[in-house]
Amino acid sequence: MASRLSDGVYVRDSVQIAVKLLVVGPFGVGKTTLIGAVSEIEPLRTEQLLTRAGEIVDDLRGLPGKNTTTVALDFGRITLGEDIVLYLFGTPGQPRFIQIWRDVARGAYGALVLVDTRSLDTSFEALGLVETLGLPYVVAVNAFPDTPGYSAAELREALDLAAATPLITCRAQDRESAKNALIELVRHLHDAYREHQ
Amino acid sequence: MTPHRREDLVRPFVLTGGRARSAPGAPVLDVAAMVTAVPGVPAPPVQPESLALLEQCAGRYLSVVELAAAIGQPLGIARVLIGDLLASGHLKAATPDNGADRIAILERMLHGLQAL
Repeated sequence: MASRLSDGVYVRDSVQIAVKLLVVGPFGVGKTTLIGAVSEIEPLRTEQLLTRAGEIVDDLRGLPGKNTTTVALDFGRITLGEDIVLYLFGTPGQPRFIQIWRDVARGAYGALVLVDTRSLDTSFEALGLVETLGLPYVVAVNAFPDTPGYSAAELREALDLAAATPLITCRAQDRESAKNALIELVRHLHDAYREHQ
Repeated sequence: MTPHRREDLVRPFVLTGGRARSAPGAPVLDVAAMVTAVPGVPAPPVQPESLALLEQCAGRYLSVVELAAAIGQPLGIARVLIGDLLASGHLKAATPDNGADRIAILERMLHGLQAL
């Protein structure tokens, strides 16, 4: 991890630790908005090829184009200190994209699950996904102007959250609010990993 | 977000000769793996997309996923091209910090986020 000058002095070899966090939630819940609010780069988009059956394309030979789709993967980046670069990935929370999530989630530290209380049912899939992936997570209600005012207890019950799972509110488009949501997530991950040590 | 048909689907894989892996059994590069161009390596690639990859990470480290976005290719395609350039020595990957202590990293992340 240390910079080896003999390898060439042209680049500072300092940013070495890349950490991945996922931002999961239904379409339109504000994943890319939240990523954009805190990212030091404009959120970028790349695509992943999938077969219609939801498998990541492994070999295109003999695979006619009509059997594949692409799924967008939005991401942002935050450099923290000298040598940690944090990548935030947002992709749709539907179960049929599980292969993409498995790929992106490999080695990820945890997830922020964004919830829209105007349509709680759409959030179950995202919660199911992070649990399938085995990632520790924090649930953040993205507060839209017409968000119904449920109590935390009502939301916890509706989402069937474990007592240890933090439930917070954020405004995805607000940098401070989005940043605080990430801070809550990192705090929770810290506690979660320490418990499992 | 919405999956859509790609009419130009065939073209990206022409770049890799139909390969989904850089070499048979080659490990899949992590989306956040950081790579940088190694200057002065002879026989630079002729493919424009591969040259673009080298230009993008000349003098700095960039992640695989950022490179894919930068050259406008699907992640799978970019991974194969990057894998080829790693094999030919035109790119080198940052040493992954496998031994890093997650708790210590999370503490540093927390301080970093609070300082933003």
